[in-house]
Amino acid sequence: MVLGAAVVVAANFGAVRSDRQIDLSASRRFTLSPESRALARAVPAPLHITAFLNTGAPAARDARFLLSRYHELNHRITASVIDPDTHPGEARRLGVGHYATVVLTYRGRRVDAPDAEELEVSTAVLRLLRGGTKTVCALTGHGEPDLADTSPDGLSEAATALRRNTFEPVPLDLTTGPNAAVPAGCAAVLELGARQPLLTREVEALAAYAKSAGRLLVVASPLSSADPNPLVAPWGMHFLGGLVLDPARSQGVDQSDVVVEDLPSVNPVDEGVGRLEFPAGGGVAADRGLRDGLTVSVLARTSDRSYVAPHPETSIAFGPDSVPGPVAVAAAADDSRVEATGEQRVPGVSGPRVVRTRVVLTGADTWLTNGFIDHLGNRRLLLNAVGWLAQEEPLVAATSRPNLSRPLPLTPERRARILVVTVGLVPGAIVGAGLVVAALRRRAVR
Amino acid sequence: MSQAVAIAWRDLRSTYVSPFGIGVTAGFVALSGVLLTLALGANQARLDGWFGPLMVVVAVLASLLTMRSFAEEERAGSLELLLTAPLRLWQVVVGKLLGAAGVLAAITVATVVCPLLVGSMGDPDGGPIVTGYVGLLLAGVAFLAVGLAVSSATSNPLVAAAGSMALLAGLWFAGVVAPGLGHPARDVLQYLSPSSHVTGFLRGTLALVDVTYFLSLGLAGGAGAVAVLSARR
Amino acid sequence: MKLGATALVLLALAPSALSACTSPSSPSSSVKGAGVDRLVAEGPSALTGISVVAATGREAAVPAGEWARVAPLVAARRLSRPEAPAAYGLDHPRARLVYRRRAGGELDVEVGADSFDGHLVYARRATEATVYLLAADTLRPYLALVGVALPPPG
Repeated sequence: MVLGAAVVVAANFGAVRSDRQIDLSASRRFTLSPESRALARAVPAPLHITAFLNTGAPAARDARFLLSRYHELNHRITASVIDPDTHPGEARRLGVGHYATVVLTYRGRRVDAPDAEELEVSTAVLRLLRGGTKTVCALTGHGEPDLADTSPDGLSEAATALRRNTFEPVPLDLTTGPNAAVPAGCAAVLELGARQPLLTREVEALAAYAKSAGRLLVVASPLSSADPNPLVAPWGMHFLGGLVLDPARSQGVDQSDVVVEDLPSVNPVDEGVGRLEFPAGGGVAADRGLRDGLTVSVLARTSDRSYVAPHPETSIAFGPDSVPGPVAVAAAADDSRVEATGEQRVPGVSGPRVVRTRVVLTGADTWLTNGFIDHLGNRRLLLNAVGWLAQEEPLVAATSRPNLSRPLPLTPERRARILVVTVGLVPGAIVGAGLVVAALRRRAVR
Repeated sequence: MSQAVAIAWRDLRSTYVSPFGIGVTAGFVALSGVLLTLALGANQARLDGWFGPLMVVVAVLASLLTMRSFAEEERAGSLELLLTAPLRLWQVVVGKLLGAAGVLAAITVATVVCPLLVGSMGDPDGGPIVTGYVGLLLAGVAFLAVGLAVSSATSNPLVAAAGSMALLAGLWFAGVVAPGLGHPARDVLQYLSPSSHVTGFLRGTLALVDVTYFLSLGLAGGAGAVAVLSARR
Repeated sequence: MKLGATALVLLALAPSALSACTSPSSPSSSVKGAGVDRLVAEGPSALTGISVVAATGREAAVPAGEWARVAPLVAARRLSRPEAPAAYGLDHPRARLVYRRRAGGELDVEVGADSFDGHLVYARRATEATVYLLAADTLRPYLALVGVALPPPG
């Protein structure tokens, strides 16, 4: 008996350590990638994951199932799913402002993930484990909205979203001082809606920065007198200006408040975005064949019925000089090239190095203000873009698949059908069969 | 082993020629239908919300099925005959377990009407249904073994049923209170609780640790029954 | 035998009891049909007036042409396990909607705090504990009549 008990205990210990499972769910939804599993096992201290989801919806149950996998791999990882409607105080305490926010805390640090899916959760865990933040520099001095401005036109929500993803946005003023140069500590430079033109020396400094493995996010607007093209043209993109109108996909009656549903690129910037709301934006052009090594992708495109009104101050109706859609409203460029010298990672060895420049351009700037950042996938686009620019995508590979909705409205008819069959017919048949058997037995006994 | 099978067959037959077996089967199917309507209230064709409560109901069912195994036999005076028969105790226990498991299997098969109904109305994911049933049977057999151990210790079937339910409830709730404790009590209690081992089956996975746990619980229950009967013999 | 009969009776009764508790015809002052909860089931034709009363006592009538926007009053969501009313601002509601029925009597709906994202507002029927969430956009213009401001979300 003692030997048997020892064998049983040993078997259980072995089973816990081995973490083997067969996943029969559709698309093996709850099997984490080897990277995620290794990452979860490597967490050395308590890490808590709180997912804010409507607990009446299937996504909440799937989130519990997925997060339970992390806990099974490492009991230091604990998770909870909180309904922000039922517990608004908890949501407000953590500053959560929209559904599907996942808050991860570890050793006094916090990272927010935009969704309770493996890729986002594992990426957030990795960011937490790495510690530290990356500085992203937001240009100022040209009428850009303030990062601390909490009004609907401000960028405080965008700044908060970046901080909760281990990016620290700091203002960068290149308009003053004798030598305009982007500081070395900037993981990316963000031009978030200039209203006045940049100075020549600023443009030169940013061009030089971009050329030497720089990372630029340029958020342009047809309402601005600033011309972003000197910054983006070398990278195969062009801001067309005008005003994009889409009668087929717009919010309410304002056809310039465009809803973008076509995100054609496989670029990680588009990952999980779904749809965007781009109010009062201009068109963007992408030149994909500019040179070898330069990859330009259209990130977002309006519908076939859209068009660009080139002179919206006089007319927004479709006219002979309008540019018919679909119209690109966001694009990304990735330029990799080899320079003959400059490799410094191995001491004492000098050789060729790969230089990579990344630039993201959007034709509207209002989409990331406080009034619009929580609309549709706007927040996700910002975080994806900055993450891609800072070269933090994809931090891990994910194999689990997102939740698939399998709707089955429980109408009164369906409910009645279930009850009739399961409470009436089947039990009735069982009881009937029992009575028949009993009657036959009684007859046999007689 | 054939003697164990003979005991199992005898118990299975006697269960289903009595109103008890028919009533328990019909009642369980009816209850599962009501639970199904509650689970489908989320308007999704998924059954994890149905299997979850069924795991708990199966614990109650196991207590009811096993209260007659030894306690009822002792009350009826037939336990002595059984224990003095030329059988090893483990054969008796295995036979009783197989008999009760046969009843459980028949009841479980009768509930298949529920996923069939859902399948006729929507498009559920089949994987979690399969693993849900595997988990239900594994957990059910483990709970039956625990029930047998308790039943072997008393001559009163009601005490046997209540004792099994209390023991299984205690094990289940150990998982609920464990997070409030410190390591290592927390980890041990969480592992010992069946509530920590059903999630995998509900989401569509068959995890080695969960299967091992329920098999071990079954073995422990069976060993407990053998030990108690041996002491009483 | 007695034991078997007892178990049989208990198991047979349980589903019927559960079924009765969950059937749509069970007494419930909110009407649920095909997944929609209504705090107020009556439409404009069944009413003689709708007023908004702020916590300060200020009162205003909802114009008759607008009654259809708040009658029936459809909830976005019903909370299945709510916390204490104070968590939703329903311990001291900031306003009430008063529905006067043509058949006689009044129905009060208490309006509490905003939801966490500002898109919804907590509410309940004055005589009940069930908490619902209503679209803030629906109530905003009528609460504004009595000086209760619902800021836009975000």
